[in-house]
Amino acid sequence: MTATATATVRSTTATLVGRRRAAAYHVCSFSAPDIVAAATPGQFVSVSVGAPGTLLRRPFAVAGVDVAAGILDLVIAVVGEGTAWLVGQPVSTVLAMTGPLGRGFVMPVTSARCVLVGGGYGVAALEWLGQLLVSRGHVVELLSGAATVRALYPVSRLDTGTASVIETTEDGSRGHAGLVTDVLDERLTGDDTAVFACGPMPMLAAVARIAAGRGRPCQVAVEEHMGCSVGVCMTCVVPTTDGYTRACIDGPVMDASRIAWDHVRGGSS
Amino acid sequence: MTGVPAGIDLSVDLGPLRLRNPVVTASGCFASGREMARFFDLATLGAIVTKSVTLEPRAGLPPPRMAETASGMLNAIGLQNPGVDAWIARDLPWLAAQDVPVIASIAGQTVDEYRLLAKRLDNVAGISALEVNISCPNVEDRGVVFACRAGATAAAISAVTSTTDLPVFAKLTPDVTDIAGIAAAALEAGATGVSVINTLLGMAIDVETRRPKLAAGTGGLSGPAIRPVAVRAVHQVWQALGPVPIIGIGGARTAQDVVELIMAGAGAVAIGTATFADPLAIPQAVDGLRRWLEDHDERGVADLCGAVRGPVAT
Repeated sequence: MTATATATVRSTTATLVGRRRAAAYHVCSFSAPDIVAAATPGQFVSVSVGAPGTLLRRPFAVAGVDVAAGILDLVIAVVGEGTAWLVGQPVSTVLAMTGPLGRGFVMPVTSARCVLVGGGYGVAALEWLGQLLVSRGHVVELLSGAATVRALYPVSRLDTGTASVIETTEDGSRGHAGLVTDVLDERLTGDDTAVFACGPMPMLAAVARIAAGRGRPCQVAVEEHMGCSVGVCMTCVVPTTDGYTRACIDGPVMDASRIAWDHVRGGSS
Repeated sequence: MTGVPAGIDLSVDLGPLRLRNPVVTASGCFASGREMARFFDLATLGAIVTKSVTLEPRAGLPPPRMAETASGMLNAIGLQNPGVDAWIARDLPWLAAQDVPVIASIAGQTVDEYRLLAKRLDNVAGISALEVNISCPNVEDRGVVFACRAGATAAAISAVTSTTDLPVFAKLTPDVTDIAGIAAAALEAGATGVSVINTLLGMAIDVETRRPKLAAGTGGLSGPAIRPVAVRAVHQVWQALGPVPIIGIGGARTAQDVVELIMAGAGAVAIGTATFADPLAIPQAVDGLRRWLEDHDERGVADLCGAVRGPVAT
């Protein structure tokens, strides 16, 4: 039964305890111990915003947690009134927060070579996933891509002694010049390789296609506009082999083979 | 749940239905019910009005399906649902076990589909009433919005009321010149009461791309932006037809909003879009309603129905 996928979900309040910039993004840290205790990489929270005339909460992937301190980080790109309001709030602001929501990444059960593919700030949630994978003895390679250097999410918490990070920019301002998917195929040769991806839907479609071509398992955290974030408004649907399914309940992390990529906007080859 | 203080009566009668309080869910804003049971006990509710079911499964419209607008939102979901048979098999048994009346919403494209849906749901255990959605704006052909015309309203409602003895509520659109006339046609066709209002047909354009924000082009406007329209429509029906059972719907979030629609003439009030913004909106409104009555030395919420006074004289 899908609706109980996040039985530990809480509708509560969270206090803003820290803010910092990370390239083009804002990292907001919230104290929300109940949510932190239950969250896994790939899950998300919804946050109330107070911009005049706005109504709905805004969904953000949990980008990392400090379990001992009960603090979670959200990486926010300002895209509209709600996100602009949010990143302008002072420390100690209390907001309504619901989470953890949705399904996160499923960890490999046997020793695996894990290739993590992120676009823009989608890399943030993968960095947390990468930390957990390394701690469980898996080999981790993180591919981080963006249009330009300023949009690359600065990876800081993944130990480069145990995990490798490859950066790509479309304009060549840093790392490999081109798309992050350009460097993916050659890294999928091993039989024990699994792919984990988070980023814009066209990137996920390309990742899914490349992984399928190599016969490798691939989980993607889909991105679709959300209304309620809790499964009742039917806004955030993704086309799958079983018809439209809700990203907030059946996702956001889904097996790439379930998704009908040809019906995703920007997802056709 | 906190107890209700002695002397305060939240219960209301909606035709033959007795509800423990007047706050119900708006159709299409509560999915299967299980999703929200993660957040609160559904027995908090006066009733659950379910998401509209159709005879056959419907995939719904492509995304983007929603656009936030000033104090509101547009949606074009397109009645995505598993079909009436799958709903009866998969969702109804769970809902029926929740100690809350279930009002099943049905939507058809023809008069015969309404009749067949009523027949399918007649004598099915766990259903207290039907809400007949004759006003969904997200249909390909505005000509099939039955609630835009009195004759079509009467035909669809008659098909249901002649098929089942369940109480029947006709859900009306505010996108008409004379909503009281449409309500009268529904009642003459045997409806127990009316649900007022469905969303308003709206449109939003992304001025950078010059494209509609919704894939469907247009959608239904809901949320606080439409509450004055709902209050007006409920009151027009109440004034024209007297004390008929009305489920007031449109932009309600707080206990005060619920009281406002009740004073306009609603016997019960549905909360919809507010649940999208806050999963706990409904239980908070129920708690707030009890406090409102206490603070105003009112004993029964039913006494407030239609209690609006005339405008201030100059």
